[in-house]
Amino acid sequence: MKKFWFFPALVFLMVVMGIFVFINFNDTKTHIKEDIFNDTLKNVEVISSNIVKYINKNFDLEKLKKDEKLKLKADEYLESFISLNYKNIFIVYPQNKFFIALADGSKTERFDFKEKFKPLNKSKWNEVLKTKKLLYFKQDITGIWSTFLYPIIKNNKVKAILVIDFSTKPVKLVENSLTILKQNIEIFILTIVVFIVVLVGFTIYDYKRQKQLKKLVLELQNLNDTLEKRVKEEVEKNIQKDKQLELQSRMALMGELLSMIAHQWRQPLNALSAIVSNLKLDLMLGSFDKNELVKTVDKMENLIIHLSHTIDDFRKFYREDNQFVKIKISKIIDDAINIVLPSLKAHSIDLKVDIKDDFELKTMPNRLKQVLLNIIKNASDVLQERNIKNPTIKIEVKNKTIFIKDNAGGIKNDIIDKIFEPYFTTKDEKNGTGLGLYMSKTIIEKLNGNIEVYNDENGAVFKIELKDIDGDK
Amino acid sequence: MKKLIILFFIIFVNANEIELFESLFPQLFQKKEIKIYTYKYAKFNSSVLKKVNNCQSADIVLGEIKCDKPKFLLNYYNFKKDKKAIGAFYWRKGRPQLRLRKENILYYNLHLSKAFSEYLE
Repeated sequence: MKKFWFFPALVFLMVVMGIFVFINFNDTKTHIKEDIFNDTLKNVEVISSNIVKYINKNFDLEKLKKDEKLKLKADEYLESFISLNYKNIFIVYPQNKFFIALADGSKTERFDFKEKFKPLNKSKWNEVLKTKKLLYFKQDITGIWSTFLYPIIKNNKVKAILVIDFSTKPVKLVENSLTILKQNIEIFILTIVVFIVVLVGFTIYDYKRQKQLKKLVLELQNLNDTLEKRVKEEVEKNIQKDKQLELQSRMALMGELLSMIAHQWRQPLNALSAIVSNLKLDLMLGSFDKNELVKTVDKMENLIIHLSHTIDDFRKFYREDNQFVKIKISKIIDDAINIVLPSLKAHSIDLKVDIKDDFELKTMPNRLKQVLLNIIKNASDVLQERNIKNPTIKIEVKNKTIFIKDNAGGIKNDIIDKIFEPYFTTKDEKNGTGLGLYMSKTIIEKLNGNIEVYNDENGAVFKIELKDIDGDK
Repeated sequence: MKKLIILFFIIFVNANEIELFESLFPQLFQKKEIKIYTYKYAKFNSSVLKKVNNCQSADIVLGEIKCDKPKFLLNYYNFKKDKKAIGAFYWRKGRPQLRLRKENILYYNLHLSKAFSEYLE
């Protein structure tokens, strides 16, 4: 703000200049008026002087008082001076309380011979008689007419007074013009002052704006400078978050899988238990047959191998696979089914698999299995929840696309667009984290594929389009 | 004082010459209400001057009207011609002129105040 000290100074200077112009103008106005009036007065004085000289030379005032014909001659002479600027020109002499007309140049209302006349401002007329000096005065304040009294002196005595009523109209006209000029100058100066004030206001506003702009540019520059770092940080954060989510999702899935392992192991464990019971019984009864024992041990060995395979399947599934391998889609689907099938059977859910196109693709099998298991497990949960008769899950493969369909009646339209969002779930807190489908989508996109969901006449359909990681569909 | 009042009215008489009559006539007639017979004014909007419709009931006649009452004229030439008029008020060279004739005023037994001596012929 310190930079703007000169703006108030400028306004102050303008105001001072304005006052100076006003004062100077008023002085000039007075001077012009006085000059014009003095010039008019000088003219009247010259004319008066000439008239008096002529009257003194050509008329005997004493005869003029008595001779009416002589008065007419004097009247004619005075009449020759009447104009727009000289209204009345007459000569009077004092007699007692009155003045008596000697001659009158007026064209109308001419004084009679020896007519008595009583002037206004009589004291001024008497002053002329007394001082023998010319005198003038305004007839009234607002009018344009002034009276000029010029003494006619003979033998050092004022014998008569020449009276001229003259117009000061030129002075009035000039005064009016100057008043208009003054008003225009006032408006001009006011306009300039207003303009300067507006300019000052605008400049201050513009300065503030520029300052703000500079600040913003600086902030933007700083932001740009740190942007790369911040983006890296954010990306890193996102990666960490994704990893965490994936871990969370896998942990949730693990819980599901433990339930499935339990289903997988129940039947062979029951079988082993039965075999062991029979062996105990045979041992107690002493009915031990060597051949039967060999068969029984083979059976037990097979059951243990089956249990071992089951564990291997789960272990494989949980193995981190960051490697892309070429694998047939049927192998991935079979592996996933092996894990989930006992659980489905336990809930009487029929699983149909229809692989029309057993294509080979380069992918991360365990990740893809995780997606399939997620979708199948969700379908299984919904089928149970809705208590569907003849619950069915169908896996169909054609044109390098996997369709997973159920007959649970479909997903509600108001939530179908949200099911891939993180932490979105229709299950209670115990049974759902809301991360399964979010992670499925993330995995499929990471594998260069696409996943979408829609409803058909029976229920929900998950469509997974797969591509080789090289980009071939 | 009266002289000053009359002078004041003479100076500013163009504003209202009726006011001059309101001051002058009560002085002459020594009455508060003056009955005037005139053709010039349709009505006096005054508490002092009262217009009457005939010469007989008037105190004074204003203007050139044949009547044996004191006559006050409003024109120089009529005043010059009519020697019986007690006075006149008229304009010459843009200046108001008040004239009073002493002998006529005395003839009608009117009161002649010193205030008017300035205007006596």
